[in-house]
Amino acid sequence: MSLYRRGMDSDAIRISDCSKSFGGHRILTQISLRIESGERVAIVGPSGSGKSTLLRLIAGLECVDRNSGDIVVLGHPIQTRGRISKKIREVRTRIGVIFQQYNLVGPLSLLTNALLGAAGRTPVWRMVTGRIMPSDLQAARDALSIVGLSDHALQRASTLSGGQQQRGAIARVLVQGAHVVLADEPVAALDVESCGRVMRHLVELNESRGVTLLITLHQLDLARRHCHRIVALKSGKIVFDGTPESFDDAVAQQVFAC
Amino acid sequence: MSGVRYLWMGLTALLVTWAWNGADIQPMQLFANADNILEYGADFLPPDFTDWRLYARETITTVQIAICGTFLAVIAAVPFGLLSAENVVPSVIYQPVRRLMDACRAINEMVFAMLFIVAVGLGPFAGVLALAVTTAGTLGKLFAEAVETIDSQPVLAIRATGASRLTEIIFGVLPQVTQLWASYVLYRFEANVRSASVVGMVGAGGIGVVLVEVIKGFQYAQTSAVLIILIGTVTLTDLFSAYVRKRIA
Repeated sequence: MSLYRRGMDSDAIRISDCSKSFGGHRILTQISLRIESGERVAIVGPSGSGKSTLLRLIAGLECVDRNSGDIVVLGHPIQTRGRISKKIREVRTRIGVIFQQYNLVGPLSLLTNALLGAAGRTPVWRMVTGRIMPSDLQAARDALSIVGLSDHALQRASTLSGGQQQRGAIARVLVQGAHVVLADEPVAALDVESCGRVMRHLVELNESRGVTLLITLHQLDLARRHCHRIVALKSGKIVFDGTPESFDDAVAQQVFAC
Repeated sequence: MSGVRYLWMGLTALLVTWAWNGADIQPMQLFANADNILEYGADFLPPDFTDWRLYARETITTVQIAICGTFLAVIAAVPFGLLSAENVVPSVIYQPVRRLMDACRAINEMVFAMLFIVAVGLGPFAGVLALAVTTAGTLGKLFAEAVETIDSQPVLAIRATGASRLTEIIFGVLPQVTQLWASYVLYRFEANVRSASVVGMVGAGGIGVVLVEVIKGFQYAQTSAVLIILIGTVTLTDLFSAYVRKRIA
């Protein structure tokens, strides 16, 4: 709980002067960004602009370059100068990540996948023997009901459609009880109807639970419609940071022009 | 281009000739002693099943050796497979584990059987240990290869929830490989039923012991009976294993 309160007091995410290169090729250059608690922020930009990399850095799934700055989430350091924090696992339990390709474990049931949201706070032996805390089991059932998948709880994740799998991934985040959710192109692989549904669930997370939402999108209309703030990346640099209203077509053209 | 092809053909011919001489191949011997071979062949017929109870009992022992050998091998192969997969552990761990598995595989189960007979005495247990060691090496390698082909993204998603490394492996890696692993285990079990009859020939229990006795005693009618039972057993095992593998695929 202390994590949450601290997060409420200050920024949910603070990135200071972070760069990232892969094999000599620079992906992100000196990014500094503050996201306040409860904000709903879209990151837009052409493909290859570094959107996904930025989210992975925030989740501590990648290291920033050695000579660059640090990333703090909910008041706890994620990484500093290319070193992942030793307490990363503890902080990660509060950060939900949603991936473009859903990343559910295909052969496991949807319910088990949702329960994996509790993996960070549940000892391995409890997970393996199925002695899950009743509250977690209830949370998983509730989460599946919220995303409208109760009827599919015992179905293998791989047998579900893309839209259903992505809603399953949202259920996993709900069980996790994340305070910050990083969604990496969550609707890029979905049809229009599923896309609308997934976006509604994400907005709902933010509005009713106060979850800070950082979401990368390549559809500008979705970013404008659903987010409070838009951050645009181009060639690894922030080229725009403002309200959806001020992100007009002229700005968009500049961002997406080659 | 054709010059290179002729060169390869020439080299192949040279290699076979060299080996032919070394292996002392004398095809004419087959014809020169044709009478002997026919007479020898006739001794095998008709098969003599008088001792079928003994053969059946020993065949069952052979299958039991194969089951236990495979079972023990799986217990070792699971950690071997995980600890020798590039995407699970760093090279300081997977390199030595791979070399250990190489050693298990490099030596034939016959040789291991003879060594284990010295250690634990004549009988099926030596056969079980011999099969377990070689199969652990083979299965470990196959298991590791299966682990190396998994989709890493779901594992990453579990890591992102703050889960421990062990949880990642149990819930992210294992569910993706169990089906393939099961199919490999059945395949090795098939092979182990065949191998179990061979390790018996050096005294490590089962039908192999009987087989070597009847051959050495020139009891060819009994030999053919044992061989027929062996062929039947191996065929049944193969059919069973193929059926189960098809069902789980």
